Amino acid sequence: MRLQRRNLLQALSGLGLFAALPSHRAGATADRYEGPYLITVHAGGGWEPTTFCDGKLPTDALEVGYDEPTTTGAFTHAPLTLRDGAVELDSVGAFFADYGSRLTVINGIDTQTNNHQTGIKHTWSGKTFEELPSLGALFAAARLGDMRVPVPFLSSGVYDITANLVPLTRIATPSALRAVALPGVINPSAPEDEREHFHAAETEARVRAATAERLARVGAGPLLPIETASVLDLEAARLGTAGFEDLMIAMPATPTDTKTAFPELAPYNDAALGAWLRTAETALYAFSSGQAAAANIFTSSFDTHAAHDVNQQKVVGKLFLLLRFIFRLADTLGLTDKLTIVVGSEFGRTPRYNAGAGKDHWNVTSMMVSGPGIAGNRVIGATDDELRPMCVDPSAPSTTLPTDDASGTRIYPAHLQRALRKTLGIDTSEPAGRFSLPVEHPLDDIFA
Amino acid sequence: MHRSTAPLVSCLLLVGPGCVGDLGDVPPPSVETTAPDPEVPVAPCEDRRAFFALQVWPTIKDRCMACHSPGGEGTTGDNAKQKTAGFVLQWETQPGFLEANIAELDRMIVEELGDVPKLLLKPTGGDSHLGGAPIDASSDEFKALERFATMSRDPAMQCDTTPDDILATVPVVDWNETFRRAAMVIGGRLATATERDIPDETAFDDELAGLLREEGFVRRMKTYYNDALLTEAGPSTGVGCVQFPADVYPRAEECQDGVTAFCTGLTGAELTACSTAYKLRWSMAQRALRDEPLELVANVVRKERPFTEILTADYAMVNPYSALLYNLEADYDEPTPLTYGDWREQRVVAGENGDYPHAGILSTPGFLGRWLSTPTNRDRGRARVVHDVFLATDVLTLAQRPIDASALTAVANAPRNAAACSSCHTTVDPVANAFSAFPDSRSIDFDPLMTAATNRHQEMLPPGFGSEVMPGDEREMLAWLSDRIVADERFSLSVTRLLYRGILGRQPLPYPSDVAAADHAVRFAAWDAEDRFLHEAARAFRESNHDVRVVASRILKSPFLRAAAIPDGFNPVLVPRLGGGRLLPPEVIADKLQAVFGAHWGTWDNTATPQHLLLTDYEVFYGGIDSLGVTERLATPNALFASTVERMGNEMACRTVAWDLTKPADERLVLPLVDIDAIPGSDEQEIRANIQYLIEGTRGVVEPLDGPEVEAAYQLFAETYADLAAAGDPSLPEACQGKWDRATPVGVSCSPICSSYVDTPLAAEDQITDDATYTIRAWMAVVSYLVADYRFLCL
Repeated sequence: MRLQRRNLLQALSGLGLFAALPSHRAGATADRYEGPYLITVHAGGGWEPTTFCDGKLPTDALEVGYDEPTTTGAFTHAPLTLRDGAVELDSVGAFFADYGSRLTVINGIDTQTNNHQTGIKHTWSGKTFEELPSLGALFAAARLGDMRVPVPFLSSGVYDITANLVPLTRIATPSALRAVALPGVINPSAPEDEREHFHAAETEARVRAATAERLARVGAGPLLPIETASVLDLEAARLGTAGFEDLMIAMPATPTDTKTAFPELAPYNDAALGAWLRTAETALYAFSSGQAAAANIFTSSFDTHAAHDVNQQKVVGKLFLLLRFIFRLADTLGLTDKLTIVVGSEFGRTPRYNAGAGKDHWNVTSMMVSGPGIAGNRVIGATDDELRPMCVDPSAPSTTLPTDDASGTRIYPAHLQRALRKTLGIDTSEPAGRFSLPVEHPLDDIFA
Repeated sequence: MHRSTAPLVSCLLLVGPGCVGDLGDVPPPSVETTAPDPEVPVAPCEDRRAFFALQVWPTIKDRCMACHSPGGEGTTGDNAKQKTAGFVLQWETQPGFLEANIAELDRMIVEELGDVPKLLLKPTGGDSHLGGAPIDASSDEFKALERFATMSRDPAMQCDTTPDDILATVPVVDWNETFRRAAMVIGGRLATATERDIPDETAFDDELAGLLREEGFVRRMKTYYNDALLTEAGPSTGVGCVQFPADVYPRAEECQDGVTAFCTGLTGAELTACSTAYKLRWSMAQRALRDEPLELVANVVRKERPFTEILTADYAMVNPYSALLYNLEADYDEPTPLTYGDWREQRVVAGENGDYPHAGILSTPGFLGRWLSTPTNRDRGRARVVHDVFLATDVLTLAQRPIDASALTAVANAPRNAAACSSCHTTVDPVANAFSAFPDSRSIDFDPLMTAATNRHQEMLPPGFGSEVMPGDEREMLAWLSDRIVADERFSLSVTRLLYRGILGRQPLPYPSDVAAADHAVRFAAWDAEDRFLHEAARAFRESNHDVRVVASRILKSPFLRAAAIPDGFNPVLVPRLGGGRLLPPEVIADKLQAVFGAHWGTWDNTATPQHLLLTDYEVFYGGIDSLGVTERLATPNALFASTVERMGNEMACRTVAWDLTKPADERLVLPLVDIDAIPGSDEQEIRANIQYLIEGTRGVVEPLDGPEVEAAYQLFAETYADLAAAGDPSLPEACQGKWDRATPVGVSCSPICSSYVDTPLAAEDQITDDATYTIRAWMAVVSYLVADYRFLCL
């Protein structure tokens, strides 16, 4: 593990043995990670599950455009076409018809907060007040072990705490990624046979070797602990770059946008959705080229305090398009059997409308999960007519119990994080052990 | 060193009901005096703060906070006797909580009943304590409470601990090296010759005073405050002309209507010109609104005003573009990108609504739009940010109890009436309600008639601050609030903590709350040393009439930046927090590139200002933030970071080496000591001298000409030269040719406003278009190597 390695290297450094460590990036070979993989998708702002996976009418009389929820497979949902203005992005029913067989939905999750920051932390780590690593970081650390890949854990923001388990790579634009991943190329967007290099190949190798040797000299000298840590971090970062070329070879030359991903919607071309798609695309190609284990995708605009129906349906439509894109590209790249996708939000929204036809924060929410070992077309947990979380039987989580049934338990994020750790096969790993999630009534087999 | 001879006191136990019980009129318990046990060694004196933290606070936190924290039943009067206790304790997440809680205990020691301090009566059930007897009078916990009371009454039992006892033992680097670090991290530049010859602290202080008056410090302060305020989040936030009611600010209508409406009826070139001008005008105006909060910080720093003015300024910062929206365009010439930086203090008049209720940052559209309110949020999000940024208080951690909104539907006005909510909302809501002259949206359409009494959120606690309620007739509610915030010691602590994080790249240690941890005492000692340092800096800040440079100076002169070695047996929690060596943030590296090479890495924006790639395309890769989704800086590098560094070195080599050689030697920054035809062998000494010069610029150290560092770079140069000469190919990639002045922008498509700016092309006769001597590419290799160096990237 990285921390163990650091401790070791610090000790070696103190003994003047730093120079004996491998230090040449030139000639270093990249490890290649073959899976499994994890994508977490965060619906930022607090989504409204009653629209799409926990269908029920609002508790007040405001017109919502339909009389009753409907069902598609196991899923009860609003019979809605999801629009962005005049553009029909998707429909809830069509989405579940196409992909419901891959999804387990957990309803009635009690996030125990209506604060964004606390809810985000709780949803993705299982605790509200401790700074635990995010599921993606934990997964990448547990799965990669001592393997060295350039982008073990990719994230586009929000909750991506790593607790120093793995290096975090923030995803920016693919063109910038290409430029950085090919640092010796003057014109990285050009076709391969037209690329110019800053230096001749021999010079480039010489500069890299000199840089590594210099770092080893620095590391061998007397250093403060804070300096030693920086030197070792830089060394590890340099060594991790070896696989970038594989990633760039795998990545399409022209990054995806809404138009290319969904030509049937043309000329619709939403910038935010395009950015989500490109993040997903980068993650999936990083997986397929063996360069990453986990990715965290941040989507936003779910905080619909005003004009809820229009705005929530629009952003849920965009989220569904993102999920469609992920499923499709994962299929194309042959990743489906190894890819777990977890989609969640920091909380849900009130069963009633506010004065501005918006809906406010509500501590009850849902989660959608797909992946190997996770049954599809399945719903666990529920809410009552007042959108309060119902309990489940700890010994048979598929059994829903009344909200006040003392023999049951509410479903909390800690339950799901524990269950996800088990499903992902990392529950007994050393990193997971360092960040345990004790709960009174475990639901560890909820996805089984 | 002193030893107390004062008697210890204890009191008999009275057992009573729980938190909401009522003991009625019970006489005070009898008291007996006990002599110290001669078997138990008693420390001659103790640090009262440490004693409180380690021996008293864990008990009080466990037994008393449920009722006596802000919003608890004891402090709100929501209890059986409907009685409000004066004894209010602060949570650990409140800065200065130790001092505040010690002061509360001191008061309870002074207040006596039958010669017994109430502090010793209440917890054992005496004096009609509604909470019964949470502490057994025979317990060790109670004995610690007794000792604390005795210690408080007898100053002789209190040791004279100075704030930086631990830190004072740390060996530090000399003043020259200290200034080099300060110049880079604060000023974004290299030390000058004078600044590399600083004999003593007095001379250092003089030089540092000059450094802190430079524009580099202004830039840093903007960065530090954006890291907290996140107002640079970009156009996707709620900041824009939609915030301006068009009936009050007429030009907002043009912006809100959109380009199609504005350019209606035009076609062809006229439509293109109209559309371009419109988009430029209003995109720049909206950018100005986003920039305003940080421009206010810059203005206060630049003009050396008391830093409290960032919240108390009775003016807006307005440039020619935002003047269009603020009804102030008559005060400016027609805005152009080149006048974007013409920021001025302006008082805004909102038409018939009268004077805008300025309150520094808090009233700016940039703040109100970034942290907008909603009909249900009711300014609480803004209050959270106010507490976080200006009061060093994370209100989200004030009470660690889960919220079940779905169970609170039966509680009317839960934030005020449900215990689960009120512990936080007691703190949050008065501050939130102070914003109630502004609507629950992003709009700045304030109500000039709104008062504290008629506040917008009558169901919430009225506007106020802490225990102080705002006078009902107050209309300048935000200004009233700002005055209280800056008078609060937590404001000065917030400034200190913010600069600490900015300069040192890490948050102050959190309070070690796990009292059961085996190393709790060590963790407390580390936290205590750092906390005392921060409080001392905050005190100096207050006493200097809120001169923010005093805070910067304290941090820059501390072992946190200057440590040269770690004493044996030093506190292991503090060890990794001492000295230089941390990764420099992209803002500092961008400045460093400019300082060393005389050119930035990137392009130019439409105001002819350098557009640093490290602060745009690669900012997030390099560990920076986008102020929206990515709001925490990366502390450790990753592979993408390492590749960004490699690209940066290559591009800077490409941009600057050939260009530098087009200049006379005495104007060069990169290669002033060699000619273009200086080659290994015959010109080795000149080449080594130039390498030595470059190492000094990039690493801040003078390496011997025959030392291993110069030798390594020389060998890189010589081997690269040999390869190139052997190949005999003089071609130089066009991008790396000396065809442009990289330091001077020239406008493109100017009619009359330029659509963009690029590096200025050199006259043909001045250009270098090939590498006939094979030295340009050899120097490029050296520059690539030096930019990727640890000492270039780390402090």
